Amino acid sequence: MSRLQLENVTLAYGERVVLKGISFEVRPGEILGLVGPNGCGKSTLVKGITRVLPLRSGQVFLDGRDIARMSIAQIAQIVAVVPQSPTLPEAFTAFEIVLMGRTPHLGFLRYESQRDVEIVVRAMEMTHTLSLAGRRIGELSGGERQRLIIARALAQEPKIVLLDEPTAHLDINYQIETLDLIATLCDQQGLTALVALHDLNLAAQYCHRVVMISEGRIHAEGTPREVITAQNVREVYGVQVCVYPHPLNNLPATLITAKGNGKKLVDGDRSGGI
Amino acid sequence: MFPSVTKGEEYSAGFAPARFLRRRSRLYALIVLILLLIPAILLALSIGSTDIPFSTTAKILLSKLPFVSFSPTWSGPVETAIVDIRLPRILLAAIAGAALSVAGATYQGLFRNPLADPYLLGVAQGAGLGAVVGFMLHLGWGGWGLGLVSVLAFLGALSAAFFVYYIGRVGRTLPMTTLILAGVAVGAFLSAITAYLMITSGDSLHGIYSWLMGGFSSPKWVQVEVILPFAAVGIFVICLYGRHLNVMQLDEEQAQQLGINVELTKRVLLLAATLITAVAVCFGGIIGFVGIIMPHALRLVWGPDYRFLLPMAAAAGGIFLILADLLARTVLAPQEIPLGIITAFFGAPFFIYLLRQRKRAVF
Repeated sequence: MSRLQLENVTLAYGERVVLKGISFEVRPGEILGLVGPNGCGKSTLVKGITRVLPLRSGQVFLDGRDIARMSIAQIAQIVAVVPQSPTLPEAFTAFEIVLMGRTPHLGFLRYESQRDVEIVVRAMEMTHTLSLAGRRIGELSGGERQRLIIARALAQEPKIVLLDEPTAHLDINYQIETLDLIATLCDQQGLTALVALHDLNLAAQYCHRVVMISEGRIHAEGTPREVITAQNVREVYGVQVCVYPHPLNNLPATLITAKGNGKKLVDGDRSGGI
Repeated sequence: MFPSVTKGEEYSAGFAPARFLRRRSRLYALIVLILLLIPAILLALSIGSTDIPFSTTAKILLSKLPFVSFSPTWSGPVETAIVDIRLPRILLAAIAGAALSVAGATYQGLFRNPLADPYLLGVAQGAGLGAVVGFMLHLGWGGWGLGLVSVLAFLGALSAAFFVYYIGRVGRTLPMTTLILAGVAVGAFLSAITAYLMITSGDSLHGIYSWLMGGFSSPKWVQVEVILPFAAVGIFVICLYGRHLNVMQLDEEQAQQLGINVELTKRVLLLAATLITAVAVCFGGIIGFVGIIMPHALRLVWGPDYRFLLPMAAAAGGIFLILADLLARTVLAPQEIPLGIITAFFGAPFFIYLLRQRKRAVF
């Protein structure tokens, strides 16, 4: 049974339809990459799955259950979200923010228990944010806040985590570290992940499968090798790139060429074999 | 995901996460604040047009308890002064102070805006209009000893708030920005009507002004009996939602993704906060400053955790207004200064002092 399944989902803001007829599934332990140009609806899809934005049509199933029949708390116990640039109140400490990740499991009046606190500590250890624990959010950098939000999502003990551009503000070492962490958790702890990425190389390296969205619909779906091709990139993003096999693992490596650097490319030029 | 986490695990290098929560220090502070209410009440009871020694005051109060009896060492008029005149007034001040502080903290949390105060949604203007109409009607209607002014002020406050709520709604959601704008618009409109009535009504003006600036100059026990259940229930319900308010300091989207039923929380908190503000205002007039500044002062010292902030606001607000009321009736005795003047005059410099002590973000 799939962890997450979308069937013919349409999402719109008022009159403006953002996504139409989206169907795909994510299996347990899988990392699904969501790629597409800015504004193509990646964040909107995350909102739809968590019922922040009501579905215009279609259905979303979590472990086979229709989200329309689940309560907000029940959805939050299964799905955690790492939003792109979340507002964080400046006066709370890092520890308190990550502790909020335990909210779905706490019920109405219960206080955080020792176990909740320990889960938060572990989550912060995994994301190397424990040293920030007593500092206020207002003092932290964008990258530190982003790692905190990831820690908060992990503290939620979700079965599925939806990450919306989780590496946007991170240095290259933290980008790799974060996605390595997600990959390890999916591999060893059965976590499932849906990651919206704008970096095609990260998508190729870390995702088991990729969904490429263009103009509100799925343009391509499959393994990274099937989806990340020069042709797809040209059709969806409108730019010409080289897609080479990565020398170490043969996954598609997207190489950009600045205008005027090197020979002019035509479609299919040196991208065969992918 | 965290199978290895069990109850009694040790941390490396003596790391103790409990200190990041400051749970114990905040709890102690809350208990101390609640306990400070007792000396504050005793002090306010003992000082007035005639000063009464503390021990006598304490004995008089204790003798009112069912299972305690003293042979009276005080005179009848002293007991009347304490029990029938001063005590209801002090209790009204305490309850109003608690209600306004908690309502202010709640609105600041709901709107995520440090400038929010309990009068944001037209409550003050509605109460003011109700009071002015009551004065003008000039009937000494003593319905349950409450007086037309108080009843109309209460109704005016609630009607204004519900009207703002009604026009601020968008479908099934309650967007906070729309609500604020609706509050500003309705408040301005009601103020205009009130001002017009005051200008064209001539004689009855004098009483209205001092009512509008706040105070408890004609306290009665029946007023305490009315205000106490509303305020107690309202404050209690709000305190239950402390964690929800914490999580809602993130944006509403994140709060929902963390399992908080955002729309329900907003409605419950708005209703409770509006109600306790309305009861505070209908007997005490429009006492400014307490609702906006008390929560900030508490945050400066003890941080933004609403689970502690809300009950602390109740206790501290009560103490503050008891003391302010004491000053109001003793500083220029026998004349009484309106309470709103005292709260602003003494509260603002204290808050500026606190601000200068801390440089970090507090909201």
